[in-house]
Amino acid sequence: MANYRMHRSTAFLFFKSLIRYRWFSLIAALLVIGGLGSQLGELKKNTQADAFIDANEPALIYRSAVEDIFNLKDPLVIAIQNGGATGIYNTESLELVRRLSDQLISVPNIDPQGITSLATESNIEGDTFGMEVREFLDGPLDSAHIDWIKASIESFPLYQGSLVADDGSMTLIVAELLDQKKAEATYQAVMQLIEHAPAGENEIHVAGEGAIAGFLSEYIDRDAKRLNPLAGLIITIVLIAAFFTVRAAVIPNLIVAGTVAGTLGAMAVFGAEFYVITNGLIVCMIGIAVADSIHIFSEYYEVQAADPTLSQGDAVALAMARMWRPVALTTLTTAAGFLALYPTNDMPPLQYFGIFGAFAVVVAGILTLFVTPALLSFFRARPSRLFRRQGSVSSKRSLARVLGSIPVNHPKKVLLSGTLIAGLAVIGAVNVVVNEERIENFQAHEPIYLADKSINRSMDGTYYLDVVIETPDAEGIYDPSVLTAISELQDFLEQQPEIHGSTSIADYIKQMYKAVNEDDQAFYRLPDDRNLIAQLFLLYTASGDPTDFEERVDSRRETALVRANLKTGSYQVSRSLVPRLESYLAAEFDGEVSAQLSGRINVDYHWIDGIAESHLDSVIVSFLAVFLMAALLFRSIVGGLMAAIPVGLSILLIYAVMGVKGIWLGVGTSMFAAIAIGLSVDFAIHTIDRLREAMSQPGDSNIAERITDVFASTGRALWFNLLAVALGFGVLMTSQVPPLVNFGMLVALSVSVAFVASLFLLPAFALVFRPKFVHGAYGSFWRTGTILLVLLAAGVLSGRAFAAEGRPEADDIIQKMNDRPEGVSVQRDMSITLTDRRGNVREEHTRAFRRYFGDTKKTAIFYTKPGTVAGTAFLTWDYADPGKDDDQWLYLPALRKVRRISASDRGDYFLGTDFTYEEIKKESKIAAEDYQFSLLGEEDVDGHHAWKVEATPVDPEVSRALGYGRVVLRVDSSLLIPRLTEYWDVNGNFLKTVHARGIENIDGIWAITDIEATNQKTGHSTRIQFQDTDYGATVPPRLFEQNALKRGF
Amino acid sequence: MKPVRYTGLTIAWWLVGTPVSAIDVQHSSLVELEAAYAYKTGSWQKQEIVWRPEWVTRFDSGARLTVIGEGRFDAKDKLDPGRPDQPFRAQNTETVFPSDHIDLELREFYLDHYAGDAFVRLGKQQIVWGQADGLRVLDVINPLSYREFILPDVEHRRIPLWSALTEIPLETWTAQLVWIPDATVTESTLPGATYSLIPDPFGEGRLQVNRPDSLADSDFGLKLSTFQSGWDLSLNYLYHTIDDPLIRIDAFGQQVLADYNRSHLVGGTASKPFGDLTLRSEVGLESKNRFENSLTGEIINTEVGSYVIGLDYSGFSDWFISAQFFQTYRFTGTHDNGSSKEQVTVLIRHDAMNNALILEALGIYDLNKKDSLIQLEAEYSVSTNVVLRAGADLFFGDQSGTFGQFQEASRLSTGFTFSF
Repeated sequence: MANYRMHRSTAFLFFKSLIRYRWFSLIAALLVIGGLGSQLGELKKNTQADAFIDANEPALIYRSAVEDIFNLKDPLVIAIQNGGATGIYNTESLELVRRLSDQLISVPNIDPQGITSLATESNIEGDTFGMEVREFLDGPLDSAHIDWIKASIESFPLYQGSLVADDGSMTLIVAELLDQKKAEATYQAVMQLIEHAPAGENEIHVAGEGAIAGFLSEYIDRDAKRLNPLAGLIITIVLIAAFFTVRAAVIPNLIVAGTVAGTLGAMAVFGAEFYVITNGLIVCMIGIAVADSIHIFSEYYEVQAADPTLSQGDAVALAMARMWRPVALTTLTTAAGFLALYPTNDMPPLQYFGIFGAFAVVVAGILTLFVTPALLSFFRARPSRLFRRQGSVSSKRSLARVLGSIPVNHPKKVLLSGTLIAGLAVIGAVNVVVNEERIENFQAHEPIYLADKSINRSMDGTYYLDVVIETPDAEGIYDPSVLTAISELQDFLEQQPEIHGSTSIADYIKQMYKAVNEDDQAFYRLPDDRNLIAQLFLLYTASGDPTDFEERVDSRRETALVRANLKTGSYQVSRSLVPRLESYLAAEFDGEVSAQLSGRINVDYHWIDGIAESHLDSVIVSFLAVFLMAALLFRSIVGGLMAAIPVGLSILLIYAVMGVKGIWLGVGTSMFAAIAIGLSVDFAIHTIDRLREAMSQPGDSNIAERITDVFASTGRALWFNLLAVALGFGVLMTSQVPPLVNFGMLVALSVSVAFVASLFLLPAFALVFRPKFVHGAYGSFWRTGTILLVLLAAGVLSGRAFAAEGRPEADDIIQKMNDRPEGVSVQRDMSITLTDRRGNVREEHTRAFRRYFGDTKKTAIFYTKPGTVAGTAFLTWDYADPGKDDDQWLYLPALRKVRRISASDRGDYFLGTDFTYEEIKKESKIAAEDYQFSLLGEEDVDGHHAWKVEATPVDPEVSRALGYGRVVLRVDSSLLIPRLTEYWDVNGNFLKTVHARGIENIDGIWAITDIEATNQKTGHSTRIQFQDTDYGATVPPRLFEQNALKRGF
Repeated sequence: MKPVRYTGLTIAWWLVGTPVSAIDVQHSSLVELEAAYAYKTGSWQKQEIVWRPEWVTRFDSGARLTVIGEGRFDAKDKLDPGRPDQPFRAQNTETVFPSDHIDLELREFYLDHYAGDAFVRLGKQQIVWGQADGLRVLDVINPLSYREFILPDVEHRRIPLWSALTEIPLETWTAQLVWIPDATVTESTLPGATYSLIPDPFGEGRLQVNRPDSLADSDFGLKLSTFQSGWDLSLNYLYHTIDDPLIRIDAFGQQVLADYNRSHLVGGTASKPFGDLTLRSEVGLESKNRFENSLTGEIINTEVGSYVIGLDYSGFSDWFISAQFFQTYRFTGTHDNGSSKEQVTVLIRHDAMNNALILEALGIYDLNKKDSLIQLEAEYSVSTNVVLRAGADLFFGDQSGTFGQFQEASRLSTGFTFSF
């Protein structure tokens, strides 16, 4: 008898002991969970939209800097719309603008200085003294005044479309928020204000990026909080329906509570924040904890049904002895799947999702194995009525048996159907569109959604793309050529179909120039006299508020902001627009005046671009992790493969549904696949484990019967597992929030697919291929391990960085290394330590500057210490065109002359160091045209994965010029910086090594902070340590002139 | 001397007006111990300690004040014996001699500032033009001191002058304007000194130097430089006093007369690398220079053209080879001295042990007088702050030649530099 055998098994005895000393495990669990749970209060919520972006994302860092310079914030936009004949040009509408503008000042979290409306803005017009700056709504709003406002707006292009709609039907009040985190409360306060406003004939709308971005996360979070408990309730009902006992309803809920409390407590302890998608983690925890419990309880009641004479302790221990293995297996495989999310994602919320998802799975597994039996042992033995009935009525025509007969009777057809479905799913999945548009996360009838659409229909748009123009000197913006470039940039922007208007300081200057020329339209242009421009500003400050320009130009008049208005914030729009603009800016602003993109549209573009790139890697690695773990645990590659079938199909179908239903792959949806892996692997593992057990048991029943038995027993448990999770999360489909509706639907779908695939495809697979491992033949742990290690090296490692393309080409690695961002300019100090083979040390200090002028990279190095070399300076202009020789100059203080030096000396050592001139100016990049590259493999350097690339000079001449016959680089696969490089001389002798000893992220840019070159022939070494690296420092262009070398810095 | 005072006052006023908190002062010093032994005469030429401190003060406004001093103690005191009169130097440019063995000099003292895009340097400074090494065609703004003839680095031989310089960027060109209200001229040591170039027919060193007036005869110049198609180019113009005097013997008054004249200098430079070779060239035309016909005693006014063509070769790693050809030509020639003078220089430098050891040989050969100077030097950096040095300065040729005249002064030297 099976039960008899079990009585003597180690597992049975272990669980008997566990039950005997149940207080010990309960108290231990209570202490650990209680301890972690007590930290829950420390858990910080972060529902900010920016939380999804890596804090080191350069676009985000740059935007913060730009916001500081121009005092910008994502605004909340109130629109006043009047469909009447005069539009908003009537007393009632304008009074409303005035009233709301005044009242907004007292709304908490609204920057009183950051309100822009007709009530705060001024007209610039000519008068007898030259220029008058007059507030639009200053004075009584009689018809003459209103006519003047209308005429003024119509002759002031800056305000058309941005402040008042072109047809006059709408005007905006733009209010900037002081703290984005309080956006929702501010939105509500403003909505209240509007409720009490005397709207009359006017319609009032509230939208704007500030409102949307801040409010959205709260919106999702709130609905998730409402629905998650409902999911818990429905799961409890399913549990009751499945077992018809109180214990089966209470104990799994305790396990869920313990798992959630322990995991969230651990998050608090480790300083992780609670993000919007952490709600999804709770969903996973409930699903996983409940699944384990359902299997334990099913087994427990089956054991009781089979032998009603068993004591409660024996029944529990027997059930546990049979179930510990699949529970442990699912725990490990699911944890592996989650953990794989960590290295493959850039977004902190998803990284934490991976780590703490794995943690939660382990906690749920441990609680199920150690606490469930302890708790269950407190109850008296009482079989479930449902199982009693099932035990006695073993109908051959029950639904389970009918269904179970399908894969048994038609295994090939079942497999073929599975393959066909997978094929169709692939077709659907390729249609998935990467996109993100926050406003689309609201339901179409939400006021904020309606407001956004309405405002963007009438106005130029409430989504901003900024271009920051930087000049090298104070008052550089006054330069007519700079202003002309800005004006031309605006022309270009407005030609783009996605852009509906733009504003800049040039608009103000044109208006002022027109004003001082008696409002003659012919003077609505930029004056070509720098002094005149400066005087216009001065004149403005005489009658207007000088801070009026603070959002367009900084106080030093060195940096200006050009703002383009878009009607949509969609990634699909920015994906084509941003690269187009970037190439325009690179071509047109390649001199001393630089231009860079900023604004939320740019930030969103960059990080959503990152999701598009990393998402596939992430899913593949997660999937591989599940496969590897399952293979290792089953000691069989086929076992791993079988576990991967339902998981893979479930992921594929999720993408297929997303593709077909037009659900975008965006921030929220990018975690669906991960959750699908976590929830669906359970079905596969339980089925495989039971199949194996059934197949390997001695007896004379045939395979078909055994499979049908599995279907009936495990199938039932899996069915309730499915019901619990699918119905539980199906509830989310009733949500108000479209992303939650999708989430609920896709979770329900993924577990359903996993259920069907496990119960139909896996038995069919076992019947068709008859894998040995299903029939109880244990593979060798080591053999499987070795095969997996080989697979791991070939698959996972290459998948980590280049899952989509497979193993990268050497040229691609070098290209990416050379494309690595290094900032437009940098200033840093270099400490150069020269050590000879006898240990004699010399130290030199320099101040180095580097700046890009278009494609030309200019580097200036000034020696500051010791006195014997102080004053020596080196300047190089490195041209992008490989056909053009670089230009180099050296200033020697003993001569007091700047000496031109030959660029063909690039293989010579730079001023006594072990770095060549070439290496100094290339800064850990390499002139790709000088070498042919081949990928030798991969290695770990200082614990970091690196590609090993061999570089061979293209011809002997280049080889002689560089001084190298062969170079082997080890390029960090994630940072794309060479960590260790070896050089051989032209005769093939090993020459030197260059080792990047320190790499740090500075101002969002990965930079080498400590590098050492060692000449193997001479024993001499040079170590350069970089200090005070500043990518944001002002590096004036004049430092890169020949004359600057003798002037010093 | 008013302009000098104005410059000094401007800097002082500027300093007083700047908040003290807004400054950052950096100091560095070089102390050099050096001895030179004239092996032909068997005597020590010098045994000196030179301290060269430098203070750089940076102000928050971006301005920078540089002060470089020089203090020298020479146990031998043969190079400028005693406390010599300084007839060649303007008052504010003079060296102080507290004792026979000690001299103190404010070498440089200038304020740098950017006025918009224009760079301004005001104060006592060296302004260097030209592309040639050691040969003077355009590098004539600062006069030289011949205290040790031409043996030290040219940086230490130039006499810094009170001057104003501004560099203004103009599209692809840079205009440099200079004004030098400091009438210090080439300083020859007086008779009795080792390297004296002044004839002493009357035995008592009776010298009458008719130095021009600093303000009325101030120099001014314009340099336009650019970088075009790989060429570093400059065009230069200087209206100046020629610093080398016309020496005449006034037999009647029993004195030696040193006279100076004004001249327009027009010239240009061009340099560009061609592979491992870098070409440097420099040409200049003085509108007026004066010579005395040694036969007739007649003073000849002439235009003088000069040029240097230099080639630097760096094709061998760690080797630097440079050769220059120099010719100067008098358009109104005299038959006794020839109308032209030619010199050739060759410099060979080898950097060894990662520049810890630098070996250098410089040869200058006068094609007319067939005399020459060969300078050999080895420099070894023992540590960050200590450099050892040994060398030889060897004169060859006829006693009447520029170099040959100092045959007896050929010397071996050694020393070390300590920096802190």
